[in-house]
Amino acid sequence: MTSPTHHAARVSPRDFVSRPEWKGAASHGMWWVAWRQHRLQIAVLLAVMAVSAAALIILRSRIIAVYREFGCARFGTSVNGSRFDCVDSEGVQVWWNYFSTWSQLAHFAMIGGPLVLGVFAAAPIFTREFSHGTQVLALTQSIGRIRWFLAKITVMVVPLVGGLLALGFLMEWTDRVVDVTAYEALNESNFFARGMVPAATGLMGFGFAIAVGMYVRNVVTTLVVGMLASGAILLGVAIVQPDVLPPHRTVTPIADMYRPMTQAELDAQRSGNGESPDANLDRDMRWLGGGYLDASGRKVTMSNTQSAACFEKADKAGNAAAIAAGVKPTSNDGGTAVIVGGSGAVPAQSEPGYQDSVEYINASARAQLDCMRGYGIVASYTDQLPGSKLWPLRWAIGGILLALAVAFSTIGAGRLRWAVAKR
Amino acid sequence: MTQSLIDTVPLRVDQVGQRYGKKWVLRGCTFDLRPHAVTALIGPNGAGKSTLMSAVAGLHASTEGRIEVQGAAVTASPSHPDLGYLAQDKPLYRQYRVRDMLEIARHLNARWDQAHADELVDAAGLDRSQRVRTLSGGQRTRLALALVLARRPSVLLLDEPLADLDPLARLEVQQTLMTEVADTGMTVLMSSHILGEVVDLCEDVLVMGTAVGGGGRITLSGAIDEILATHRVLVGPGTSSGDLGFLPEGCIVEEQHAARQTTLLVDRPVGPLPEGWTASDPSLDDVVLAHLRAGKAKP
Repeated sequence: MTSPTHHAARVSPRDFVSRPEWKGAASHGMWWVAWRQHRLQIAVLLAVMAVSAAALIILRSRIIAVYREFGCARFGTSVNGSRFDCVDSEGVQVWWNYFSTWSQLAHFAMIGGPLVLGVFAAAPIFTREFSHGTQVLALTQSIGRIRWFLAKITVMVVPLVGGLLALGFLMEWTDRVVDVTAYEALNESNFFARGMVPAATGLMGFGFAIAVGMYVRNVVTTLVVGMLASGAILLGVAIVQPDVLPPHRTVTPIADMYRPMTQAELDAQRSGNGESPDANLDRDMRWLGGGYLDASGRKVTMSNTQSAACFEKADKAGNAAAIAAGVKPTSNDGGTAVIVGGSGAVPAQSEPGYQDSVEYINASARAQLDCMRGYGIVASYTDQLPGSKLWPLRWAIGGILLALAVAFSTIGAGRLRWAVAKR
Repeated sequence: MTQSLIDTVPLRVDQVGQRYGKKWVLRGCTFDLRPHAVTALIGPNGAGKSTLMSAVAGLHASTEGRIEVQGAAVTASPSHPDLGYLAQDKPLYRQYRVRDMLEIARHLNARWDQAHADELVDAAGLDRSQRVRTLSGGQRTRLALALVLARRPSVLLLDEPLADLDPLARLEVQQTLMTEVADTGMTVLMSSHILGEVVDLCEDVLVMGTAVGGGGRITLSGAIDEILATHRVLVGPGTSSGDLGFLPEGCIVEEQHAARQTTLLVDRPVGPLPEGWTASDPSLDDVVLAHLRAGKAKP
């Protein structure tokens, strides 16, 4: 063994204070490094989203082209409340048969795709560093771990969110030319595929995969676990989506529903009052449920048997009244008509019969009213989300998904302290 | 450099402990590095050398105790600006080219001597267009070392820097290190579980034992010259521990008894020896191994 005394004499300690020429680029360098490390992944991400956008644009243009082929020139306009002027044409049916599959595929892709892209974007960011041990290199320079963490996720999140926002609104723009899917914007299949919701979905998947990656530290496992588990989370969010905002409840006393009406009122209803049933149709409305209420506002459940019994009583009472009044029966007789009265009446049928006579309607309405009151029912209600709630619900669901993304990312950041040191 | 910095202990480790879950992998580790000295940190596998070094490098906060570099407490991330750390597996982004690695390191550091990095890369004969994954082990070590040294650290931590290198690569890395140390006077702590691997480069030595309840206790520390000057190997007739009353209390590091011969390693000079006893100088290997076996902590 050699004694160290043979070593060359030390020179005077140098000036350890940094010299001007020893200038690194750490002040902004982490952004450059993050971009340099993930640019290929970002390019793939943007390419996938660009191809998806092109597919949506082509789909929209094809829809319009075929639509025009059948003589339907106007799109997005209103004809008596209907947004399109060719709803019932044979051409539309042919067109729809052709495009429905593509449209449904586009919706499916816009619901699941953002989740897949989010997980894909997040999975390799840290797991690759940990599997190669390069976090030790990065974090023993002049960069703090939080700055390292934030810079790396930001360079992925910005193109991910930007691209998904563009795709979400492109989907909405495409859907506007499709009569069948243009409305019901609050239904899950439309709601989660349009607007900024896909971007929020992608962020949730991204945040979840960040957290998973910190624990499992393996890209493939993170991809699989991230997609399955964040898919389950999205399903959970979709299940609670109708209940996030308080519904709009319409309560109608059954006395109004079944009030007596005069022959003149019935005649006016038969002529339709000159108003289209479509005139005030809220096509984006989502029906959530309905039923009956008692005097204290509690829900009353009426079984099918009870409903049928009431119906039978009402029908018998109506028939008896009509016969007593000398109304001539028609082929409509047989108890198939809907028992309605007052403002709830439907347009008249083509031939008047027992069910269409004012005697039948009033007598059956009284019997129906009595029968329902026997069960304690005083009113009916319907719960719905009106179309005007679309943006509030988007912000609410977007907020929930964003909060989940932040929570998962925070869990990941918390785990970073352990993951960096653990070998 | 100011006078206060010259006088500051470059690295102080005070009662540092590290626990993972319920297991202590390092406990009660205490030492100071002598300014401008190259110190070998010797210990068996599992002694906690890498854990200690990564704590000093700021990769994780120690569970207990305090670490200071140039008088400033070390916090977990970012690394102390005066500290350079070369991890055991020399982590590099393997998919990048040599020039990319230099550029990445420049962007990650507030202090960066590009000219020195270029000089070290050229001296290593590295092709800047070559991908890291195609470099040999020795080339990777020299590239990693260049990245650390271009930070111009005043304290350099090298975790088993020569492990897995062939003799030629080992010699080249040793030469690079010695040139750097001679030029800058930086303080170096170099770990190894093989004494012979680093002892030629070092003036001081720290021996880290594996004690019950966690490794990390320094069982021997000091300048190699002084350690060798104070330790003695005594050989005498076969006897028992009870017959060693001529020795000062507590001086025996290790004793071996055979039928006709007793061999002792003592850690201080002893007076006149009884008849039949002889004294000789131990090798550093003898001293270090004896301390490791004995697991005896020195004050």
